[in-house]
Amino acid sequence: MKRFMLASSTMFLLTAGAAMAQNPLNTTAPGPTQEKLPGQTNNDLPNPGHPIAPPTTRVQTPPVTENGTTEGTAAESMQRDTTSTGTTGVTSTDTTTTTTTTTPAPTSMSDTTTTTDTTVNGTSGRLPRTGSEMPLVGLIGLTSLAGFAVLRASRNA
Amino acid sequence: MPVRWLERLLLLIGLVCLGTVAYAYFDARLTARRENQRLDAQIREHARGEAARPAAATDSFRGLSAPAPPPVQEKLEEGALVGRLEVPRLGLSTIVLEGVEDGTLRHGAGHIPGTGLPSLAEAANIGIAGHRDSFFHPLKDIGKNDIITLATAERTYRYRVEWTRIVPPEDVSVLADTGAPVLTLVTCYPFYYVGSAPERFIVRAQRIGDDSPPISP
Repeated sequence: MKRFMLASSTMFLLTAGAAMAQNPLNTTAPGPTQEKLPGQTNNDLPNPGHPIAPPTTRVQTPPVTENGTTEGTAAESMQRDTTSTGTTGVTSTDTTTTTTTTTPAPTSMSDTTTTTDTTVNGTSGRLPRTGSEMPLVGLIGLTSLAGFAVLRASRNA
Repeated sequence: MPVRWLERLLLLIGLVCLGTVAYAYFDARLTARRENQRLDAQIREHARGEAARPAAATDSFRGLSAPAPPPVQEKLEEGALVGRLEVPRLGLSTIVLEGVEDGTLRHGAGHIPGTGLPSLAEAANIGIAGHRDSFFHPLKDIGKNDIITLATAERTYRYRVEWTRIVPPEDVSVLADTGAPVLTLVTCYPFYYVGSAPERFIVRAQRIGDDSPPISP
């Protein structure tokens, strides 16, 4: 019975040690390249994003402005033709019409210019979990083996 | 008698746990080795294709028909090879696979789906995540102006670290497009922490200068 009590108390101590290892206060202090103060990065640069995160914004491509160029889509050409005076028959370079055609960015340059969606689809509103369970599994394994060793030693004593 | 059973149980748990860790470690090493070899083969193949292209272009010019560009895959499958990430100063070198599932991150760093890919968009925010306790552990020592390289089959992209930041897991704004070609590395923080860490460590790097040809193995 005494042996069993000894083994149980040893196991409790080992488990308590493992639990203490998970305490955030038990982590090592940030190194010279890590954050020193709240809101300050390791490079001593201002850190406007911490602790208040900036709103998620989707940066859009600025519209393309074309003024009298010979390039453009058929729709643009038609638009220019309809807004010009049409008295002289020269419309493509007529500056008096001051037609500022605002069109979406061209998308038909080639097939390889297809861009990925800029919204973060795969994250489901959270950054990926990048901590594996292996350290925890390893710790449990070591603790168990240590417990086994202690029990065996106490039994043989 | 109960002590003996407890002994056996502890021994069994210990062996199973340590065996699992050892298997995961060697599996990751073997996968990284295999994927590195595959990437090197792709790089060599691409280099050969580039070398043969001028002659083909001349021939096609004679024939007045341009060669069709190789098809670009818009979305990669989970676990597909993306490239190789290296931070020479820290000795960090890891393979980058597509996706951030547990199985993927066990074998290497993972390209975060929905963020840019260097082969698809020139001015994109490429998000790459990795485990803080394995592949991305050296990031704890990264600093401003460190050089990061991302080698793909087509070319090698070089980046310079602009800043590092610690953010909560909900702050996905670090992955938003900035309109510039940037690379964002994500890992858990604190680095020494057993279990699911409460914060994320972000490294933002800006693409620099000209892109050198792929690193030859």
